[in-house]
Amino acid sequence: MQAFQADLAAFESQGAQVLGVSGDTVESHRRFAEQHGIRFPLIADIDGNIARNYPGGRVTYVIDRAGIVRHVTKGMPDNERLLDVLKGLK
Amino acid sequence: MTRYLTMAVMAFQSLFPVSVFGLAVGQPAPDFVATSTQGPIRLKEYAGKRAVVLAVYYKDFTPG
Repeated sequence: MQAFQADLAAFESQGAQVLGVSGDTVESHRRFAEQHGIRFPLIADIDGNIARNYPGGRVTYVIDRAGIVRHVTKGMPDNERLLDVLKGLK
Repeated sequence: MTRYLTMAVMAFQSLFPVSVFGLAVGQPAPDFVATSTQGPIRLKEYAGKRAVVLAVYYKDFTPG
């Protein structure tokens, strides 16, 4: 999530909302966010409902304004690639 | 031939829930409501307004 924070301004300038999701609690997320200066929301998927619908462990999804999945990255995301995808949505 | 193969794959995939194969490009993103560090979030509220980069990760306090 630190890498997303480092490029957050670039994501925001593409009109995108970055959301982090893990099974950790909001309290854990708050400490993590504070420690690393993470300013985008971290979602507490405690019951795993989101992970069930967005499976695969470490996966990053780009969802367009119509709510359609436009890109899926498994493993460590490449911000340059994600930003290119976002530019292509316009 | 390719068409039959595609049909066979689609028939095979339809036997399983989405979670077995993952969520593919072109599919609607399943909505969710959840708590976050910035209050409750509903995915659908971004529809028509902003694209969303949804980053699913394993654990807080891990690199990346």
